[in-house]
Amino acid sequence: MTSLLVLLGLLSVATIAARRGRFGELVGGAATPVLVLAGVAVGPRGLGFLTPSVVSGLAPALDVAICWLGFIAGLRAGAPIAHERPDRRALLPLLNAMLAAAVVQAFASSGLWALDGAALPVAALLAGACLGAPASTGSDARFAKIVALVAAALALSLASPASLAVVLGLGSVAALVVLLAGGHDASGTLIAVIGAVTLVAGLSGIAGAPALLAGVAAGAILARSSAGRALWPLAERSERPVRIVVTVVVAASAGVDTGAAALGAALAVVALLAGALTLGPSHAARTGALASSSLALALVASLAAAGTAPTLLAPLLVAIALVDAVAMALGLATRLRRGEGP
Amino acid sequence: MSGHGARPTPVEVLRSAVALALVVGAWIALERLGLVRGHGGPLFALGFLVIVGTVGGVVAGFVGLPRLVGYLIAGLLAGPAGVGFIDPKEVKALSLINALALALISLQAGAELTVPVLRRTWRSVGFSAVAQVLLIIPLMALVFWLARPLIPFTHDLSASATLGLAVVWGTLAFVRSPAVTLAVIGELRAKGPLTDWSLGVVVALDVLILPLFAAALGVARTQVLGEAFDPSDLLAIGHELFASFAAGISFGLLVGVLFRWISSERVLLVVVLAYAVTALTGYLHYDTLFVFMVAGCVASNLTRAGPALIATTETTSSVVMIVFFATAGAKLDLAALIELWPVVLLLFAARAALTWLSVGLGHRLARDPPVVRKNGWLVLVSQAGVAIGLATLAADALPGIGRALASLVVAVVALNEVLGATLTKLALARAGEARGAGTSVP
Repeated sequence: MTSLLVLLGLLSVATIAARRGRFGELVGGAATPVLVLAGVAVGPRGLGFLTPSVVSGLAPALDVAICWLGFIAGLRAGAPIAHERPDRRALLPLLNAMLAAAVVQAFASSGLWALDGAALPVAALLAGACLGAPASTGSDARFAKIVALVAAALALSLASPASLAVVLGLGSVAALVVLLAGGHDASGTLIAVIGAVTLVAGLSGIAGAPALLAGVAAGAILARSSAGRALWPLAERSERPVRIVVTVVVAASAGVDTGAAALGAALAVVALLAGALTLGPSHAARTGALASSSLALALVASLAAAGTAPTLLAPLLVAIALVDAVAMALGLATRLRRGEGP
Repeated sequence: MSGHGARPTPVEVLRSAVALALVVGAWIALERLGLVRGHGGPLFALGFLVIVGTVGGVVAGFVGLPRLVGYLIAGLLAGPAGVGFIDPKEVKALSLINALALALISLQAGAELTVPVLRRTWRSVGFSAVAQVLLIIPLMALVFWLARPLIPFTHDLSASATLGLAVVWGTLAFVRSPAVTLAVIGELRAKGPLTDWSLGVVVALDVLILPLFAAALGVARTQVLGEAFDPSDLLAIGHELFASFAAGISFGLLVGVLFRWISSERVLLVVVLAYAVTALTGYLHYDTLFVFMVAGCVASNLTRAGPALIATTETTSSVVMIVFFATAGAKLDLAALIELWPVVLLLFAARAALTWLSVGLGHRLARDPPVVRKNGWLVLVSQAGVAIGLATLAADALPGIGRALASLVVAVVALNEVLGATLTKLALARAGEARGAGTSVP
């Protein structure tokens, strides 16, 4: 009961924080560092407001939330947009993956990080997927996100080919269930999607497959259907609060030691470098495009929970928080220079 | 699908069946691949119940039954008494969600009780309640007493102990189901004198049952366990009811104030408040159902939040009803029904007959309009979670014999729940108050 009360409390705060306006911009926008710090502070390793039993009690809700974020990402990836072309951002996940491979290899070789050789490609692809998916929800970032999701799927297929088959299968089943059982009205579609997402999150959890990718598959299949269109308003409204809850809970449950912090910092530096190289430093600073996607943390948490490079959760948590902190600071500095105020 | 659409077509039934087959197929495939063993856990159970309940609702709607009958039967088939997709541990884990669903249903029931409705029905509801107290409780106790040769667990009891159990049985027979009534009214979008009367009666009886049941249980304990009757138990119930009433008023006013400030995400607001209050009432041992009904009534009548509260609870009601009734179906244990079917049928028929008799007397005294007089008793056959909850209390209060009594209650409630919902739909359709899906008489 305590876990459920905590979850509802978090969701309420997140919903208030995700409202538009100055407070919402500050807290709900690119404030991953704040949320990560808040999560660590209230977690078992911080002030202990969230005890280990509460955090473990939140695990099923976290699975559903992550699957829902994946579903939204799938809806967005599959939605039809006219006159679109991939731009340089699409290269970001790949560039990040290459640079991350070098960093992780360097840490492993120098004994700062324990990683066997076979896991290096998985770690690199996962890091590339997390750090290379940009924050923007516009069509300009769409291809980069698709490439990031493909990189995550590749990482999963390298780690466990059966898991990839499971997530694709479950995603397809979820989409078909929504299409077949959802009826013709929005209410029916909503009930079917609640059932399908909960079911898929539960099945993914027990089958050891990442719920997020199953959600992505389901969302992508439904994106061009009437059911997908009916779900858009709810998807857009719920994305920010759900993302806030996921970030806080993941941060509360992750244990960050010195090695993880160092690797995370190094990964953040190369991610910022990759962003600046791909987009141009001034453009990246001005537009806030360096910030990571809402998907990033959910992606690494989901894959880590499914056993794909679980040791990378803490370093990537640090890296995402640092990248977003820099992006936020650069964005703020740019606005101050223009006289727009914070 | 939610119950407000048109009657499902054969194609929709087929599509739903294919959707269910896909889910079951996915489970079997994962099991064959060795990726899952045993059961799927609470998350799987919840998702599966939503989907299987949805499919059950479509099938029930197609054959002209209330959708909630489909939710119940689907849950029953998926649960431990059926094919066993969901085990008792998972059903128990869903009790938190179920408590929340019941709270939302009660809040909606209370919100529907507006002053005009109460003004129109108070006299009729009052007479009906009195007639039911005076006739159903003693006469059902008599039926139980007379049927004792058919009830194995009474054979070794003394006559006075059996009489004590009979009084408890009579009181349990008096319990109705606000959830079933509200679900069918919502599905049919029913409006009219019978609808108003039904809501008023089920809420009034829900308030009366607590002190009556406590008194009956106190009497049974004196006869079965040999304890002295403790009148302070009744006083404690009085305190509990008063405290619940006060808590309901406070909660209702809080809802009214918050609805003035918050105009978006009200569904989340209501869910959060409902859960927090459910936890609080559980901790303080208040009657959750009563608290929420009073809160809904207060918010609806003493603040301006009424229409918005009803709209908000209606937004959640489709999924809440599926979860609530599918879980209720999964909880049903048919072992006692199969074992004791002659006495279960006898007790079911006797209760229905006495309901007809007592409600008829109430109608006569209140001079109700013909539409209510003709159909009123049909609405009051249903029983659900409240009766099972009270039976669980009886099982705890009467060690040994109480569990057997509770099993018999669950068996009779299974019949009352399924047939009662169908009869409620029949009554509202016959009264011409049904405006929604599948309004033809089943």
